[in-house]
Amino acid sequence: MHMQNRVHRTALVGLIALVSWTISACQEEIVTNLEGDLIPVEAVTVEVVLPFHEFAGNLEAWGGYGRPFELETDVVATAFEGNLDARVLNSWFPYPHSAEVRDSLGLVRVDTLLTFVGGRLVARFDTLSSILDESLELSVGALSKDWDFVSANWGVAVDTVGEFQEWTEEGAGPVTPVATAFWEPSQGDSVVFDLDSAGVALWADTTGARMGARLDAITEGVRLDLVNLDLWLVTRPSVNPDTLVELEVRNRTRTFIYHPELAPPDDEIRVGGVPAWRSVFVINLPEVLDGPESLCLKVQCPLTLTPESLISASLVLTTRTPPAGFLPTDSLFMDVRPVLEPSRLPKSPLGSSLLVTLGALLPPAKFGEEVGSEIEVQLGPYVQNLISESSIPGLDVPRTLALLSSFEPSSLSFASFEGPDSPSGPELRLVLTLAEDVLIR
Amino acid sequence: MKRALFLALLGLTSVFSSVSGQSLLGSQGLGMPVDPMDARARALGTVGVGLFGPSLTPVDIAAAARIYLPTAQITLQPQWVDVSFADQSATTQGTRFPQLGLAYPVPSLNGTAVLHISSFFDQRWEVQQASTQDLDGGPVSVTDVFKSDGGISTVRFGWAHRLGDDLSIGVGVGSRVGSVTRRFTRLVNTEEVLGVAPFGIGGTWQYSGLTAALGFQWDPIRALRLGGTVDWSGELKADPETGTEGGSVRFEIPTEFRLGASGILTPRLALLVGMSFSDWKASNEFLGSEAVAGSVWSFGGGLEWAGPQMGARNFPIRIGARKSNLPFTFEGENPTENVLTGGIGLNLVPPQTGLVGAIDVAFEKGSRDAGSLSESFWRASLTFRVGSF
Repeated sequence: MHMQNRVHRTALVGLIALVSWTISACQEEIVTNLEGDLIPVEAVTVEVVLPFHEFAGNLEAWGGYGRPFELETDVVATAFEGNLDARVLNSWFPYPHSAEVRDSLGLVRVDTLLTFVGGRLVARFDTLSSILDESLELSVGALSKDWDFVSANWGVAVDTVGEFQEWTEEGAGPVTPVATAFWEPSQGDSVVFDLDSAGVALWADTTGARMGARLDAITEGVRLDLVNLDLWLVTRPSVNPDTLVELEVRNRTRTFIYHPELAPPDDEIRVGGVPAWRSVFVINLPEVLDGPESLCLKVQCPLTLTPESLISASLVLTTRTPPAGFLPTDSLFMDVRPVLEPSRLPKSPLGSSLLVTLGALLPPAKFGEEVGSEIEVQLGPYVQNLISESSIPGLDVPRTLALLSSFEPSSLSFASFEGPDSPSGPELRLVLTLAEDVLIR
Repeated sequence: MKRALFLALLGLTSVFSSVSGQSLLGSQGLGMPVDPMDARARALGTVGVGLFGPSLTPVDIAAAARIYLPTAQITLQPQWVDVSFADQSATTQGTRFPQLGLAYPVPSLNGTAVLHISSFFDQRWEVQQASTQDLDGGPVSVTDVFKSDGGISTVRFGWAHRLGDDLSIGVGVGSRVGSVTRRFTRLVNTEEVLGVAPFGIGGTWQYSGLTAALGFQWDPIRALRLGGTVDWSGELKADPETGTEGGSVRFEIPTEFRLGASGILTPRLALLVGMSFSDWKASNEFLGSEAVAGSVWSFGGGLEWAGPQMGARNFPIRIGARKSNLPFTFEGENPTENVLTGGIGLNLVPPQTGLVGAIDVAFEKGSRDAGSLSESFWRASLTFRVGSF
């Protein structure tokens, strides 16, 4: 009996081990990674590069998307790269009428009889994106004309429905000089304009505060990105005349104006800037390829394009240097979106992005020291849809595409690419894989 | 209960073609043939016919005549394969289910009705191959993948009939079923070509075709049993599914003959031998003369010892060897499979209880060779058999 139980136990353990061993093989590993003629399909992968005129046409640049006030930083520049002038316009809400002040007995009281004896205007810059060699001089002047922060530009103060006013002098002039200051970037990211009582008085009434100030760079050849412009008032409270109290004035609006304003380009693809540029063109993809020779040496021409054979399609753009003063100083992102109603350009709605990420990254160096670089924009799924359009009923693929900044507007600078007539003009690079049909045997 | 079991087992036909085995030889012809034998036949190295005792396998349809209890049987078969090909090596593993059978004796008719669901050809394999393609910007790395997923199975109903004490015959008719999906994919190195998507092309085919089998089992003397089966196949038709290029394809499947014999050497020791033959030359028209091996023979045999006895139960021990041709060439050469076999039977329920509960286990250590391909493998087979009034 004892012997029989032992045999039973041994058989049970053996059976469990056997089943475990069997189950371990249930995890299929059937891939063999071996060189040799084991694949019963012949395939060839080829690359075809189509110049712009063979796959697209009707390139146009449209500007005017977005306004400078929408940017997070404002630009101050004087003769930057010998070309760009930019000035910041800032208006404030009326000065505070009262302040809580501790009197001579130490009690906190509301004082409504404030005397403004001076102030300071603090400008803080982005030291990384600003371009300057050494210390520079800046000036602040009081504007003498109302302006509209949405429509103001170098020549026009207001351009709204029913109202159009030009500046007395181009560039938001003239101004009443208020203060100047030197900025030593190595000492910090801010410059302080000390204001005397006369300067403070210029913005003390509602009209003066609304018209605000203009910030200029006196030193030439610089371009600064302004982050903040804060006005602080120094007041002597009536309840405690021995004390000076600082009060901040709330900003109302701020924008910047610049010169020159660029005309639409010829033979250039322009993307970005503020107001932003979009470059629009129409795709006319051929259905059949009968060249180039390098293609026909590898495959039989004419070759009908099929969505199955297309494994990559990219628009290849060659960078060029933008006009002086507009060279990108930070990375830009370029998007590609279909234009849904081309007849309504520049106000046509756009379709969803054809790109899967934020857009094609455009490093600033590609437009400077590495100008002439190629930027590839992946359009594979879109081109596949274009090829499929004729064979799929109801599929309507927009053929007009817009190249635009992923964030509009994103900066004063913009991306510039060679146009269709340039030897380095845009190309469509297709990678095709052509294979025999897979048969059952 | 029995009806539910029947339906559940019938549902398993759908997995038979997809959960199947592995061999690079499966990339040739119609794939890797699967002999739907149970673990006992495999352990003995035979071809599965003419064995003592009742059995429930599609290769010996007459043997079910001596099954007296409603019985269900399933065999599963894990294997581990080391592949050597042109100075390269790889390892694969997997499990297939070669056969499932149901038997329902009808004493009043002196016979047993059977249903067999079994694998016929395993078409599950995948290879990858790296190469370069010359684009305008220079060579780029590509990886080609060809994957075949599926297989051909057989569903067959039959009747095994007792003609006296010494002779049984069996007949079965059924259909080939299954499908295969074959797909070629090319992957271009995404670091060399930005934004590139995989290229893929392929198709799916559904198999169909008639099959029938006729078998006998005869004991001319008490110490000797002879058995044989003729397994006929009509044309195997592969119909492309919607979206698959090409039309239907028909393959000529040859008739297979199996003969086997068992002899009692001593009261506790038996010798078993068998052979099978099929002529694939007729399939040249469809597969190409260079693809088929022509005459395909298989020989094998072994010894079965009654083993330790524990009360009414016994645990037979088996050894054997088998040499088999395979029907499809590899690099122009005819592949051959050689195996050494062994195994044990675990008769868990004493026969007098009116139940059947048994497990047969077989181990095979073998090799397959053709051209520069050499495969060595371990293959296990487990057959679970249950029966009850």
